[in-house]
Amino acid sequence: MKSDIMPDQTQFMAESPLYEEVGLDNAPEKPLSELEIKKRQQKKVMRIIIGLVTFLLVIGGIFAFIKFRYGSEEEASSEIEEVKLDEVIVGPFNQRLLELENELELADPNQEELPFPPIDFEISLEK
Amino acid sequence: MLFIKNLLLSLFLISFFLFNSDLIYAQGDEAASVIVYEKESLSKDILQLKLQYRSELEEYRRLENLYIIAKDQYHNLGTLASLEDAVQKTQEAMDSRSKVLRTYLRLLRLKLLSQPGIELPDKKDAEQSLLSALQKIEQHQQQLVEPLDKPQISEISDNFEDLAVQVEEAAYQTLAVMAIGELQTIHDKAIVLKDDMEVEIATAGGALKSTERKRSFDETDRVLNTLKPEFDAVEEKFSKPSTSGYKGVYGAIEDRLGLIHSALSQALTFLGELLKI
Repeated sequence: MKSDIMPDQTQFMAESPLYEEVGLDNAPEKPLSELEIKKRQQKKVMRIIIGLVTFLLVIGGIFAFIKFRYGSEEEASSEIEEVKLDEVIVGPFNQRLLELENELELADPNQEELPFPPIDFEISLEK
Repeated sequence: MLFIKNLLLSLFLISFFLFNSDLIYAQGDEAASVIVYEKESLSKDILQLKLQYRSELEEYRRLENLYIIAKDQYHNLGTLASLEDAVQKTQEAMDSRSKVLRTYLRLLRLKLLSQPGIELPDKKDAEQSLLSALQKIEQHQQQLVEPLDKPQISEISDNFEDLAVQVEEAAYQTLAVMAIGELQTIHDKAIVLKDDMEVEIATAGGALKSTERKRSFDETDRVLNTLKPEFDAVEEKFSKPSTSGYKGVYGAIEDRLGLIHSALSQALTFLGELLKI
């Protein structure tokens, strides 16, 4: 009667592959049919295409963002420049005009600053 | 699945950056313009004299009322006591009147000297008139230092009539020359401002705006040019005072100065509109 326990480890090591369970993965592959090969190839191509599209979308998004950001910056800076130019040209004139308006307000002949004092020139004891 | 995951991730990242950039721009939009209003600069002396003038005028009004009451009482009662009171109150009122006039003339002189834009000969003439009137006022005031009796009061009162005319003439001559000078200065400044604006902004903003501006500048020019004969007429009246003297001149040119003021106001409004085109 043969026991399950093998005291001889050397023999066991040599025979151990014989006792291993044969799984599906290790099972020798069946030769693939042409249809299956085509399907697998199509899947690979699809994966590559999807990866490429995703990559292009990300790159496109980044480009769009950069363009938008720098574009709006340029636009804003040109607007600010325009405003600054206007201020540079018109600002001093506004200031001078404002000063003139103030001076004109003070020079109103109907609103004398120092009218002749309302005093009696005929102070006397006579009636 | 992988595609959808990648797509959502990239969309999320893009939207995050875009939203962030909007925030940055929103924070950076801070434009504040400060307009500084420059008020009329008065010298310390003018300010002090103004305060002194006001208090002296108030004091004069109080003493004038007392003088009127005392005079009425004297004429009603005719007693020695009421005469004494009336003489005293009259003398006080006269003295107070001299103080008011003296301070007023000094104030006018300082204002005249501090004002730019007046022809030097006109300024000197007006100042000379003021100084001469001031000297006479001080002499008149000296007579009021000692206690006076009724005849002395009457004599001083009679003499003051001539002095009053001289004081009025000096004052109105100065008021007229200052009023003309002020408006003349504003007129000159407005012309310079218009010319500078024409050089700087006439051609800015394209052909359509240029044409609009050209028409506006022409209209402003027209308004400013109509003032030249007005100023000439005013100056002619001032240089040749009639028998009514400078008081009459001042009264005569007041209306014309009012018209000049209105026209200048219109010209400045035009210039303001031009800056907005």
